[in-house]
Amino acid sequence: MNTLSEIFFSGSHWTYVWWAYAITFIIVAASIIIPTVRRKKTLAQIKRKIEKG
Amino acid sequence: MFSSFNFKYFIISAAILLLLALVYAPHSQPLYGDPLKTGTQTKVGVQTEYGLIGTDKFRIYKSQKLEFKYKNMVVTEKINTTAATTGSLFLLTNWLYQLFFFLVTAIAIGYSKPISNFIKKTGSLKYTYNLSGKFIPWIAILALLLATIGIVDGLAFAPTDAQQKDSFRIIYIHVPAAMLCIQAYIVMSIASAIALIWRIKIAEIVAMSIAPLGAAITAIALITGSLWGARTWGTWWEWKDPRMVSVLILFFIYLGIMGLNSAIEDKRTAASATGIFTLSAFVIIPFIYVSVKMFNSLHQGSTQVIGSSDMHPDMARPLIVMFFATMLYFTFALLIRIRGEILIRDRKTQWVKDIALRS
Amino acid sequence: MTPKTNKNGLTAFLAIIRRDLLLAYRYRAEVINPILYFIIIVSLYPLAISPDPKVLTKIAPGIIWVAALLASLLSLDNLFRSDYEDGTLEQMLMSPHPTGILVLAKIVAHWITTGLPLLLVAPVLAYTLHLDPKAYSVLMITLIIGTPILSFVGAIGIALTVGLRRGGMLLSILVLPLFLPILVLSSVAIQLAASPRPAIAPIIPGAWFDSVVYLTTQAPYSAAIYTLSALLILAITLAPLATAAALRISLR
Repeated sequence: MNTLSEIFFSGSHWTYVWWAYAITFIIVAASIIIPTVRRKKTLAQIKRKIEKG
Repeated sequence: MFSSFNFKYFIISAAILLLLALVYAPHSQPLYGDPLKTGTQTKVGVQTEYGLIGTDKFRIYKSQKLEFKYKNMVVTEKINTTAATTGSLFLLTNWLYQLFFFLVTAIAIGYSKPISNFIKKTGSLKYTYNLSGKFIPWIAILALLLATIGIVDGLAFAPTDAQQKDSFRIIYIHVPAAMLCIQAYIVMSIASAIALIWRIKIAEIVAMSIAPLGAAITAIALITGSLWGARTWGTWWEWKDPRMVSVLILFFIYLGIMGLNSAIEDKRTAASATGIFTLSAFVIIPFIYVSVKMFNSLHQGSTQVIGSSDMHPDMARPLIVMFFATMLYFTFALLIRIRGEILIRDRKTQWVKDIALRS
Repeated sequence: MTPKTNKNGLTAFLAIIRRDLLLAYRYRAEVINPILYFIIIVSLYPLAISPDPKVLTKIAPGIIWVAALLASLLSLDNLFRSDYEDGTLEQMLMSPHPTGILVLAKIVAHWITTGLPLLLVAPVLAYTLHLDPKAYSVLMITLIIGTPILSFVGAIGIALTVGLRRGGMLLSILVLPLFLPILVLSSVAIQLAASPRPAIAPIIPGAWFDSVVYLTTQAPYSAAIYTLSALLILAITLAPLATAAALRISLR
């Protein structure tokens, strides 16, 4: 925790770099995870509809 | 593979492209640095706490100590741009790069019949779903690999910049993201145009899927850009910078496209309406490039940080890797969305029901 | 088969302009609305920011153009709304004349009823905002070139959203990013015109074409005005086509 706050809040040059990479990573991960989850949910929904008859 | 190769098309297109290369070659710029000529390049400018600000560059081919005053500006820096000494992987001179590109184009034109057959087959949603399902793991692995190489190389192995210290490393995300958001818009416009003219479903799906991705990538570009500016220029947002403002307008256009898509219930009508709006708003793309030149001529006294077009090759190498990595990531994320949308649209067909039962 | 008529497109164009102007004349109380919006929005800024003339002089170009933008946006709704509701729009799409020409006529008539009044009121408001006297001509030039662009580009947006239930907010989101370059170019031009610059050296003292020569060659704001003119021509030629296509989609 100490080193994390050191990295992200110290105000040196590296802070900005880590913030940029962290935000990018979050947005990239979200843009991959959200459609995958939606696709799986669509498949599950179709399956439920078939099994309901 | 050779039977379907149309040799006549290949020869004609190769001849035309080689002619173009001959005409265009004297005007081309080196890819980066200038591998054929070594020497020092001096940047003339005003030294401020934000770095060197100015626009004149002089190329000197002997090592000279150059100091003079030019209209109250003081030369303060000498940068070595020998590109041939670092053993980097990307030591292509521009004309070789051009020849390779044109050769590939000519070969593609020679294979035009199989390519057009393939494109026609992608009109079937089932074919596209299955084909992309086969390729998606490889694209993901390759994207992850290249991204890891690029980021590790950029964060750990690229040398520290003299002026910007370590915060220039944001460039390895910012520049690929900025290029990608413009490329994404162009691809979306082409897909929308195809969907409007020929009413092809897969084109509508592609156009609809690119919008949220493009918005995310523009957001990344804006956020990393403002973080970079916070360190180098001192401000989090600089309204005077025309490129920043134009990319913000592009972000709003992406959001508008997403809003228009979700506001219309019927998907085919929504795709057509969105297509018209995408093509009408296309004017922002040339505006991004034109506005830089125009507003620097209007605001005579505006500051402009020098673009690092002559970067040290050790700094440029991770950037090129990140270009490819971000393009592969974009393809990967786009294919996931396209596959999801195909399942939704074709949910009543038998092949989708088979896939759902099997999953 | 399209029915044969002995009236050509020009007649249709003029007929629609005449019809829209006649309608505007019959409801002439509504013509005052965009002007009122304009005046109210302009008066918001001195109340909110500061009535100090020195401050107002600097931001006057921006205030006037933002107000023109918002007034144009708010008045876009009556471009197609009434025709959509009583079915005239469908009849226009089914007519043998090219839809682009009819749409062009509607947009021109709309500009005459909503944009042109702004032009008449703007110098008065600029005077109350203490705009530098050097900049008045450039203000009028940018308004004359810019407000038609707003009407044309806004027509695309309203054509896309005319059939939607909550189209008003969506219209703003769609159309304002397209308005931003016009806003920036115009206010930059007026600010440059208002900033201190050397007096014009006349070729022939007192001749009127000095100002034209100055505008086209030496003025610091000429680049912005050229770009605005280019955008206007782009809008006039392409916006009616896009609007016609959007109308066909909205009325499906």
